[in-house]
Amino acid sequence: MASSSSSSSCSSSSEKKITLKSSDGEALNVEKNVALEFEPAKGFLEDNSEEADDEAIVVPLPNVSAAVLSELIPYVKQRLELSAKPVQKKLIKAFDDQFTRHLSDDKLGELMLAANYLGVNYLLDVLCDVTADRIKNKSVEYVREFLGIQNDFTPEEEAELRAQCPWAFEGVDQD
Amino acid sequence: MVGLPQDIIVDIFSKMPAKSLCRFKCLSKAFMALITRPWLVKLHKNQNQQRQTVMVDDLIVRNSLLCLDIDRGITTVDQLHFPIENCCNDCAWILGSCNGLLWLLIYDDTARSSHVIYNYTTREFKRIPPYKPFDERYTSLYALGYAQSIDDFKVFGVSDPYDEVEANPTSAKHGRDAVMTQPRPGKILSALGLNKARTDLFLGYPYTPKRVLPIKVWITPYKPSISPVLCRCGIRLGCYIHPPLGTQRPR
Repeated sequence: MASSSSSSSCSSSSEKKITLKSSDGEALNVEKNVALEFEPAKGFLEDNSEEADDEAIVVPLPNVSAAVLSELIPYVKQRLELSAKPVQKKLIKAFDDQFTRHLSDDKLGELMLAANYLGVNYLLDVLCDVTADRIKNKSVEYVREFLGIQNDFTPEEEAELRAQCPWAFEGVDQD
Repeated sequence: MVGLPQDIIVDIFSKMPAKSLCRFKCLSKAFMALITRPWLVKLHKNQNQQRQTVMVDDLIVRNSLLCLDIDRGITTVDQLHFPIENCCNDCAWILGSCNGLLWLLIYDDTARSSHVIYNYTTREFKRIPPYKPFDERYTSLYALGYAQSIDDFKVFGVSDPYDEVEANPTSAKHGRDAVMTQPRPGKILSALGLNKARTDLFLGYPYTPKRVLPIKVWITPYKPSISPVLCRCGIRLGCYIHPPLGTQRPR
């Protein structure tokens, strides 16, 4: 009985639209249940819950660009639909795989920052998995480039570190 | 991909295998510090990545498991949840250990024995289906090992020909058995886990003898499939250390 009441409230809220305002000033209309997945928007809506008309609320998200938001919103929407059904984890994983497969490295970074800021932890988790997967077999040089890391070891220090665990440098992928 | 905050970096690195982390210590001084920091190791362990643990002693009592982590020295593990709540004397025998998994022999109140694979980090356990050779007297040594080829663990029993000469050859059908030719041991002291690639069992001997005798190694087809907690630096080891260090024996 608890589940039926929560699902009915869910469906009624999903019809309401909220406006999200991106860092570059674009306004995007989303369903309320999608907006509630974003922590800053959720907090904003709770603070402004006295407002009778949800349509009038504009939630500013100053750390996320419209380009990133417009990728995030369909993902979160579909993911919500999937997790509302009693589907297998495999399906969700397949959906996540499909979403992340074609992302460029830069896009991956932007999405991680956005997911972190918006508190969409399931997406952040998936993106971290993908990133870890992309770099785990790569060389030190490749990962420095990938993550924008400045090497502050002297050549002697680095050579010494490498000598400590030579097995860790075996079987590394070509850059 | 520039300018990721540290918490995201930590998330990403906690999902990587131990080998990659060892390599990425060379990225920069900051990463070296990050990767070797204990809390990342802990997070990493919690992500079911590799970690190395050696259990000490062959008998554990509730709340008194001692374990030796090669990287962090001897630690105690508190608040064990034994797979069987009302097990005899609140204790269990460790038949083998590998990468944070324990193979326990537990007797319940009616003195029925059961074999259990127990992950003390996640507190999950799985019962090993009855496998006759393990309950027979000639199995003088047990070992739990990780086999990379199947990315899972295997349990072993080893018979010492000097302990029990009359091994029952028909029992071998249940698993794969291999005959290892080893110098004559005084008694087999310990099994040191498995070679990661070739599923070998290493045996320790107290002294180097002169005669050569075959030792039977029983390898079960059983796979525990509890999400493995593996070692942090790619070395896998499990052994008993005698005399017992600190754990209490009843009586």
